[in-house]
Amino acid sequence: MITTDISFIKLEYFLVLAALVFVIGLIGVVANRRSLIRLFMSIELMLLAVNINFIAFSVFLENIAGQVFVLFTLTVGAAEVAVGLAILVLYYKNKKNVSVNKMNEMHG
Amino acid sequence: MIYSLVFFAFSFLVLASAVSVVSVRNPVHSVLFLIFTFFNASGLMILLGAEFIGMVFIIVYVGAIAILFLFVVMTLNVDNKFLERAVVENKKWFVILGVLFFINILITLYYSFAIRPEIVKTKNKLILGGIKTNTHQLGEVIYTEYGYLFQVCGAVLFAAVIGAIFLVNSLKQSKNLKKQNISAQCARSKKNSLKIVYMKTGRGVDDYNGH
Repeated sequence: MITTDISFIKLEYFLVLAALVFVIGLIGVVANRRSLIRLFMSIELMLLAVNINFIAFSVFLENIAGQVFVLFTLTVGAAEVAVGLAILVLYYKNKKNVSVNKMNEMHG
Repeated sequence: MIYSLVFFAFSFLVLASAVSVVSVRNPVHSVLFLIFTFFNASGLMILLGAEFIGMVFIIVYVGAIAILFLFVVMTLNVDNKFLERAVVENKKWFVILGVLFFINILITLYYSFAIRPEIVKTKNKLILGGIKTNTHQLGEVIYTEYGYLFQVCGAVLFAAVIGAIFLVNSLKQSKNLKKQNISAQCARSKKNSLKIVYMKTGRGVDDYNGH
């Protein structure tokens, strides 16, 4: 029997925490003009916030579906990072920088 | 009581390291803070009783994604001076935007709970699946109920693999890359590439240059 007494922790705490992490990631996305790498990291933070929400609801509503969906979100996030970093490496080989400010043309 | 202390410690560390990820100047430190954030988040998940997801988070994010970031950051070798020149000048507007967005989320949460109070009416004492562990519970549904979604996950990963390999393979067209010129290599003959010299003892090879 696995019991966890989490009567001191409410669901709202997790939701507020996830909202804060999401907002930090959002600020990182919009306020960042230096490098595409940091933009990707901020996107990862936002994904983390969404996953925390999923797991908190899954545990507090006693429905395992939330955790299954976290696995799928994780897969999509990993695929996105792999393709994004490949594009980033390609861009750097061509342009010699990764600054978001200088990305203003469509053709490589 | 001890659980709430652990929760607040983990969530404080998550928030502090998330702020560091977006504000630290060196990208390598940023990646390391990202790793720290994921460790603490997986600690939160283990505290909640979702230990399989917590461990998968450590394996996937710390073991694969963050290391991928670290590789890219270290191989790209982006000039730090260039990065510092391109600092955004009006940062406070973005912070104000973020605070407004956070207030927006809080209002949404408050009113959704006010309208549907059954959402928050959950048990506080969790009995996680009786004698079944979290991994057992996940394994029961992931191949049966969510089997198609599981297959779609495989397809997504396959597409990502093909995309990444295709993108990096197209580097061969880049002019920065040194590679073998196959026709020139095949057109070499013995006459214009091989020279036979007879060395005298005690003399260097420099004396025979040009002969």
